[in-house]
Amino acid sequence: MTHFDWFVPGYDGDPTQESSGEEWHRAAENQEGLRVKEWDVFLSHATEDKADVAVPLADALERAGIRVWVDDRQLRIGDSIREKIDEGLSRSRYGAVILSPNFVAKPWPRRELNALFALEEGGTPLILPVWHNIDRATVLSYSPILADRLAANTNDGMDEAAKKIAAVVLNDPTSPAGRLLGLLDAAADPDDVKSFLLSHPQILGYATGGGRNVQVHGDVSLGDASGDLFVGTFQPTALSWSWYLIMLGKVDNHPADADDPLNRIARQVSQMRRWTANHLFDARSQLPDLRSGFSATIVLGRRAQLSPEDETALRDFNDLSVGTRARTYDWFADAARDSR
Amino acid sequence: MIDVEWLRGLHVNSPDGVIHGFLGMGTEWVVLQCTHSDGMETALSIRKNHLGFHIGEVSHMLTDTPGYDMGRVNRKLRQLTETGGAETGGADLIIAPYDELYSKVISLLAAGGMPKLLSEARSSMGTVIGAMAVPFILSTAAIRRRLEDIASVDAGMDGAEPVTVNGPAFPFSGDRGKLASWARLMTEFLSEWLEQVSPDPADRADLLEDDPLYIWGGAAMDGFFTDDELPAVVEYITETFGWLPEHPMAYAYSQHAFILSNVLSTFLNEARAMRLVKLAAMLGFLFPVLDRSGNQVSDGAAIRRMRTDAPTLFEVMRGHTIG
Repeated sequence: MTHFDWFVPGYDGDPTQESSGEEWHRAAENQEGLRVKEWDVFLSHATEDKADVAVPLADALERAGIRVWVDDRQLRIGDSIREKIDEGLSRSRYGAVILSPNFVAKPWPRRELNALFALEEGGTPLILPVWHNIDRATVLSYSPILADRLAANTNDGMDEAAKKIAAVVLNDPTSPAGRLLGLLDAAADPDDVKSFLLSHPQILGYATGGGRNVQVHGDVSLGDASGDLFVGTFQPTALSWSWYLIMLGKVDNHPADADDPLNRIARQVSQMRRWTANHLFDARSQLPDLRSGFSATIVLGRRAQLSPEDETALRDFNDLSVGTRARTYDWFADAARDSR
Repeated sequence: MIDVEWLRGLHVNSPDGVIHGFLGMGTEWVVLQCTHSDGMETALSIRKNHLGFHIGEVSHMLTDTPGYDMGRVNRKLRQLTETGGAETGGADLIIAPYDELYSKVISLLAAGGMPKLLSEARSSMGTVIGAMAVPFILSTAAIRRRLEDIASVDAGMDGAEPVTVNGPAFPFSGDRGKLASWARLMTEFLSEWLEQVSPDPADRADLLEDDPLYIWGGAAMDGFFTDDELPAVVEYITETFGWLPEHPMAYAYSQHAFILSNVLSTFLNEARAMRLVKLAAMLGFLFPVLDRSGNQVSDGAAIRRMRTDAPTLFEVMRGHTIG
């Protein structure tokens, strides 16, 4: 069982349906873009903690770029905590439970609380305990499982607590952003990155400003050169398509490398533009409405690995070039995070 | 290219308030988020064909004070002249006054063919300038590209599908197949017509996109360079290309500026063309410019050229004749 399975029936409304969580997740991504869930985090809290903890923490999370849902129907005595959190997780990727003296004073069925964490076994944490005015000994005596799962502590300040939660949420290795980062961190072959991006067009749509309804084509031959990724946006006013080319260098390339990867790829882009200008009909048979002056971005290297010489090479290229821009692969990573 | 990431990071003081974000981009417009000076949140729509968006520099169209790096703008404009517009599909597509000018010509051709264009040219420019300007404009790469663009709108698409063509200023719509057929016919017709009327070969319409005056003049018309900055622009152009009136292509450059200034002044907006006239005069190119009523609105003579010790084009040519 994957960690997705348990909320699948709740999402699609058919509790009898058996499906692989991974497959469902992929299908949902394809249908709805990266925003599979409406919220990143929902906050579960005791009624008494709403004003002083839940609301300020929610504000801090929003400032940290997290989409947060504070359930209006707070946990009350007699509630099934499992039911409430299940409900929250049907709409959110993570649940943050505020563990406070108010919380532990309530007679939640311990069995249910522990069962929640059993769901995560072998998977990424789904429940993120936030300690508020509580120490480890108290939590330990309440629930040994909870005591080992500190995600954030409001004693560090709301912003710091929010930052810790954001770090978990934004770097989720199972999210598209996390999977992309995994590929980039492993300096994957550009073809693997290309395959990933082809199956996640929303990332490209956000990066290029094309929005969610973009069409992406890989390996488009324009004369003797080939465009790695063409991202198309349908312009409803003109009833026509506009295209944006992305060329992929190596993830571990450096712009200032001796073989001058930036200008080498830029020459290919120019070659494709010239070919398109001279063979417009043929080019448009592949990509309708393509223009020879299509915008292009060359992607190579990682931001953190740029030497001062690399930074100069990138800046000089962008200062001089009109129509083509150079960026690092972090452009995609940022777009994957921001487009959630 | 219009760089969305750059647009997202825009934060500038505009005459209307503060621009602090990118809201979206449509076929014709870039929409920016603006907080008006009275505090009201507004959306500011600006046409996409504005040069500043394509070279990623904040021009005077957006700000009340210069928001660009002049050295960088000069380097990017130089790049445009070196690539002959190949990287952008043509400088005319990214410089608003030129885009509007060529779009207007195409729209006149679409509305009534050559008779319509010639009649409009005669009535607005007068017979003499019109007779010189129309063949020149029609033999530019910009017009050829625009017709090719329309001629292939049916490639890879159902010919019965509708489409809007000819950019934001003078758009027109129709079935893809019909528009493409019209553009192919018009291309053939123009080719024959140009053979008959034989535009002056010395005008060198083919050199237009290599012409520094065309590119920098376009930038000056499209929101770049204050009047105070123009002397430095002239210095940069002179350092890069030499004193233009002494350039081997000086006559062609002068003709380009003369024809375009007059066409812009009479077809579109006289005030806009004056920035091109001013830059040309500072570079030693003097010529008359008419308005729609046929009145001469400038001859550039009142504008002090930058190098008073260097000759104007007229002086250079007179010297050649005498010599």
